[in-house]
Amino acid sequence: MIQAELAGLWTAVAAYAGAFVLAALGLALGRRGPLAAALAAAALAWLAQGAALACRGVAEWSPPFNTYYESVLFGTWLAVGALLWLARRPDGLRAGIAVAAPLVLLLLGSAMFTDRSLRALAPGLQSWWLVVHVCFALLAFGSMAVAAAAGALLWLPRARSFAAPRAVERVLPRAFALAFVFQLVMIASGSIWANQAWGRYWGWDPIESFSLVTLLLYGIALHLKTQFGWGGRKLAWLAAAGLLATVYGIWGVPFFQPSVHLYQGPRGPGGG
Amino acid sequence: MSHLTMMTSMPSAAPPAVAGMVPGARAAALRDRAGRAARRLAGRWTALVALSGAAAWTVWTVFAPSDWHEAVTFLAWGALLPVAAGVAAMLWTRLPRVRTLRAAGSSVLHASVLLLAAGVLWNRTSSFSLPLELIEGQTAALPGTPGTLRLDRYQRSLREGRWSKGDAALVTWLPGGRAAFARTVYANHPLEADGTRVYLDIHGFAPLLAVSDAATGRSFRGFVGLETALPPRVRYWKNLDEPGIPLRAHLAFRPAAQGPYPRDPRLTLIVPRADGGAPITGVLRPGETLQAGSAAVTFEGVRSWVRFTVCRDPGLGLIFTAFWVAVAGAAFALWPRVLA
Repeated sequence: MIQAELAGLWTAVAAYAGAFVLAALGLALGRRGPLAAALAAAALAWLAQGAALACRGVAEWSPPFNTYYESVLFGTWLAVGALLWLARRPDGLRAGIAVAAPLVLLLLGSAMFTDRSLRALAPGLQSWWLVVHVCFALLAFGSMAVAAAAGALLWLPRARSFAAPRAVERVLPRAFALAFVFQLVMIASGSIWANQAWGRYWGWDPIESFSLVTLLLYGIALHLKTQFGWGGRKLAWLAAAGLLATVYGIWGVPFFQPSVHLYQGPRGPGGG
Repeated sequence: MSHLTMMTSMPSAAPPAVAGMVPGARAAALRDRAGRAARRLAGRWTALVALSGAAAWTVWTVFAPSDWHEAVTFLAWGALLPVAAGVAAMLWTRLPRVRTLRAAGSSVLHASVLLLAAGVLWNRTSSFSLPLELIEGQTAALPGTPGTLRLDRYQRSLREGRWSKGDAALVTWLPGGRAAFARTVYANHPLEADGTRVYLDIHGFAPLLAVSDAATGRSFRGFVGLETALPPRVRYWKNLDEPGIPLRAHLAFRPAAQGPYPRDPRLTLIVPRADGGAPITGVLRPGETLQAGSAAVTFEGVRSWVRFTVCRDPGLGLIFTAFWVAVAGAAFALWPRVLA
């Protein structure tokens, strides 16, 4: 199973690299053929990555949320799946693969050099709320990434020939709405689980606080859209800010501050 | 333009004078005045300012020095009142005009903010979280309930099915007047007892001590819980401080980390002198006594020790209900936007 997982992972990495090269060529030459090939390569990578995830799940017999490596593997798989769904129509966000492919490569690369050993699920993580909380966290992050990628397309001059601004403007508020709802479910399920595990539903932990900041940012964006008529590049800036807040909450906070989410610093009750 | 914006841009007549009117007309005039005030309060800028303020304050709590948190938390609770008033005003002006699923969802989402605020305020005024330290075989009163809790055994690495559940405390809850309940407390499985929840916190070993002072005739027996979950080479120090007994000691305990109890435990005592001279030190085996002036400290043995956290949060049901009401409202308010 481990060998099959490695084979799927390296196939995915190679296919993502090929997708990036093809998409960059397509954007540089202004041709749709390489872009379509890039999407096909990304689809192959997605299938290979899914197979790697399945092999790991069978070997470990636990949800893929135990380590940084597993979370990145699952999260990028969800994000690429969403992008492929959105890019299925010719006027969809096909050019977005040029942005997504290198990001996924970077994330997978960073994860592959961390601990990839099989581990039993830690006692503190043995709860059904783990699946709900992490799935919705990944869905929220994926929606934010899609919103940011769609917003970025408004700034790329070449991308406008592949993705009509109307298509991007249609995707942006939808991605904001999905991100808000998924983030809300993530916070709610996290609070219930924190109460079950640690005896408190909210503790102003840095990671908790930044998830709330992200939720409020997306709430502000939705108010600006509905009440003040914001759209286009203004929303694109907000999408980038929201993604930055989430990225800092996930990757920045652990470097600078202890967090009970990582079982560092002051420990919450539960002993897990 | 949103429906609310159109409403606030309509020309408004001057509010009628209230004094000197018949009661029915006066009530109508007051309602009209309240409605105008609510519409002003429920403007689009209120939500923006409230959300931006909340986001800025949350970011500040992450980076600010911890000793400033209490003051700003107090201010934030004070700001909650106008925010809640703004939300209530918005609901009052909008609810009579709800015609679509999206408008209903938005109203439900905003109403959940009021529910959440009420739940959090109720919880802050009546909740508690207290530590409870027990050694194996000891019974103590369970805070917030008329009953008691006894720690029967501390089990390291409870195994259930495919996975290890981690460490577990086997306890007996005696509710007082009812039959006793035996329970296992471990990660994600607190004990629920009459609305109070008991969580497993930290654990270790506790040296049992008997202290007597020949000068005052005072004596007591107790234990000092020392967390030993970390690698056994680390030494754990804790102060022994019993009022009325002129004895302050630093205790260190180095477990042998073999089996459920440490083999050959040694207790290191450091007793400061009242005259500031060199402290009295000693390393004791179980059964040995250290003489420190007129006081004698006997090391009686070692037991497993657990610290529980006992919590009661009466507002939790309302808070969690508010969460799910918010999710339902957001889904109905935003889903049509996703489908459009």
